[in-house]
Amino acid sequence: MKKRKEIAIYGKGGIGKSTTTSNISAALSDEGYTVMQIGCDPKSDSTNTLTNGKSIPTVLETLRNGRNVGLEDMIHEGFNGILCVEAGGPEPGVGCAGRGIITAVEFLKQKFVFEEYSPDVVLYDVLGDVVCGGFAMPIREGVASQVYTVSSADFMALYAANNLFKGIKKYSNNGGALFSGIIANSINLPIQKRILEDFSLQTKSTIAEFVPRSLTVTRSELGGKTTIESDPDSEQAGVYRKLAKHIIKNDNEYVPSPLEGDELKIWAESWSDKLLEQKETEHDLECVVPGAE
Amino acid sequence: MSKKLNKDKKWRINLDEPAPLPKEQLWNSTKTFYGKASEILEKSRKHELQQDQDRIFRQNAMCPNFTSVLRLMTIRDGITISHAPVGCAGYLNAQPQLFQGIPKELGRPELDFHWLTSNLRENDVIFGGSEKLGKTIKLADERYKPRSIFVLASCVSGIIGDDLEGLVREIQPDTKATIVPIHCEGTRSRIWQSGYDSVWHGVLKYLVREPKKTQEDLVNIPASFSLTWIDRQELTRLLAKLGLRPNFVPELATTEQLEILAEAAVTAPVCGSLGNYLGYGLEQEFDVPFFNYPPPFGLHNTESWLRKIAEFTGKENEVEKLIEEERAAIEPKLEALRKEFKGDEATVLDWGGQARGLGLPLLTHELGLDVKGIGMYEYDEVIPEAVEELIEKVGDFDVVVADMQPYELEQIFIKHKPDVYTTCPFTGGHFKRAHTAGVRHHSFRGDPTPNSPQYGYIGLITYGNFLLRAHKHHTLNKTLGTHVRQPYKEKIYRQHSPFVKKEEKGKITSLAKEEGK
Repeated sequence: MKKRKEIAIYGKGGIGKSTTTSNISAALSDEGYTVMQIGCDPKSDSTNTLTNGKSIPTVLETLRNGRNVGLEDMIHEGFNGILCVEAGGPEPGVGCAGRGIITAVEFLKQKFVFEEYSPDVVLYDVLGDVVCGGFAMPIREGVASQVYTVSSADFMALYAANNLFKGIKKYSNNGGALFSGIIANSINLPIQKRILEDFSLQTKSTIAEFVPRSLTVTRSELGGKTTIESDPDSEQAGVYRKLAKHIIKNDNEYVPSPLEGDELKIWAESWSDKLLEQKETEHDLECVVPGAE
Repeated sequence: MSKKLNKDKKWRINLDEPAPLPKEQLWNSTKTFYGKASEILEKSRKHELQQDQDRIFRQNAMCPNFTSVLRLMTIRDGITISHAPVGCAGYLNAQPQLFQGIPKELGRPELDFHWLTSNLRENDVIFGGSEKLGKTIKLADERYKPRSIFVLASCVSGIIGDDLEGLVREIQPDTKATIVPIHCEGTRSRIWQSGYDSVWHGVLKYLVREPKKTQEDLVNIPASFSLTWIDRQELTRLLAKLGLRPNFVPELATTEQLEILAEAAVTAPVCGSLGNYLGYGLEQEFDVPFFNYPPPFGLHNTESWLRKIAEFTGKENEVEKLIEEERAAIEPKLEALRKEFKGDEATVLDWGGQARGLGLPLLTHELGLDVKGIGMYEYDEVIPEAVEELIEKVGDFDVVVADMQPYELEQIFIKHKPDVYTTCPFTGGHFKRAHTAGVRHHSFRGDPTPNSPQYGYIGLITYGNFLLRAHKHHTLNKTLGTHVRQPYKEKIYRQHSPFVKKEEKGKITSLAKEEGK
């Protein structure tokens, strides 16, 4: 039997994780893989573009409302037969979203979800910068084996990525998941590319793919679809396909070296200086690093 | 780790995961039922047990963490660590006292129990508790040199998401004792018996070793808390006559007794709530045969229990001889008991765990008494056949599933007005006031008195006598009934039954009203 690939995709809120993950799912399903996408975010909209923009009932909501619930109540087929799952979680400002992820993922696994549905690839789409024990759940031993992070050249996104590296480093001693690459998102300018390349150099990490910001994506999302589904021949769809192919083949797993303490700040400041210099010469720079104006 | 994940198996457990499913989700268990035995049978067959009824209010509850402590505190060469704020360790102190009444002459081992708490405080909640736990484990390992260290998770450690498995992997190489994380977070389940499953999950995952050999004469007995010391001796005696040895776990066992669980010839039940997870787990992972019913409670059940064990150990001939001998030995006493009860229309209401709940109707039937109703602390969907068999033998009867709800008991008690009421010592107090016999039948392991056994042949006679005494002598209860006030105000008794149908919960229409009360 072919080994199932279980991948966690992390990244700062709003950075394009769900967009990227859903497009990877869609591209992989086009390739003939059975894909399961598990949204681990109380917002529970990870799989929306795979289900025509509709929300599906979440694991936690189902567990909360019903008894004798089974996997069939929580797993919903989306585009191309992609198995869509949303962990769900509390309303903003109440409860404990981290515990929600632990409970949801444990339930799925205790119900032998992968045995029942036999996916070739499982993608966990996880919120944020590993702020607590619950959000680290997918990178603990026995859940995902590879981790990617979606990041722009924005300083806060890189900060989140660096936090993720810290989490991975911590759990790597205990058999946790290892890192496999940065998915550089919204990269349109050479300088953004250079910032990310430098970040990956500093943190001894790799870049899986550069994904440009594109109107095609926005259009597709507004239509409740992935780019792969709504505009399969577009250039952007090609980028996602290339990324998906890379991910499915990529077996490179390692522990990155997060920047500790002030290192990250010092590094960011060094870029701030470079950006200022460049601004004087090029005048075409958008503000990409906060504090760099 | 999980080697055999047979898809056809109805009850599967997943040892790859840190924690088991709570009983509600694993065995479709319930703590709320009020109806006939035939109804509970029908509902459990349709998996509707949890959907039908609920309570308007719930008086008390207990914590899965507590039940885990009960199981593990007494492991003789083990240390229990409560990974929680210090208050959660409050009841760890009580355990040695429960057992110290057993005289050493009866074979009671030294009681030298130790426990620690990681004493989680505000800072640990904020910054994570794993590091502190690591230090606590190291301290336990160095100070007490135990063979096993059980780490009991709590609500706090569960919510902040401390990675116990990760910690174990990290520090186990430098720790002499085997570390066993137990996921018994209080928030995990409303059914506190889920803590039992958590214990067995940890034991199966971390302690049970691949069998080097099968010990053909070894019988695993996951012993319930209420199996008294004398009960143990009786079961040991019966098995010894077959050339077999019991492996009573986990209370007062050694770590090695847990490690060799997979070497046993069979796992035999005493109580399903407690033993099913271990039984199914050993069967699934290590091919140790298991039967989940009946426990050796009452004549018929004791003999079925012995015959089933004999079946798995090749003692079919010996067991028939044993049964013949034992029957001959108790026959005069049993006859005397039956004679005493004969002609009396005594009714019995019984409240206990699943073993006694489903065992007592048959036992009293064997003595010539009529059981009006039984109460169970919780009910798992696992044993519909047992309920069916029981109904066939003794007819339909009332069933209540509830515990720690004195108000409900009071209501049911008023409805049934039994002549004899039997229950656990900690739940039966106020029934004595109601002019009715109350019998403590649910002894604790630590009870070494000759009155205490209820299992096996000796248990049948002793318990029969106990019931007889309660049935014939009502003086205490009458006195109490005369002089002690009822626990609730009169108007409370006229109120509705606490059980409601789910869909009527908002309207607070009670079942009692439906019955025209």
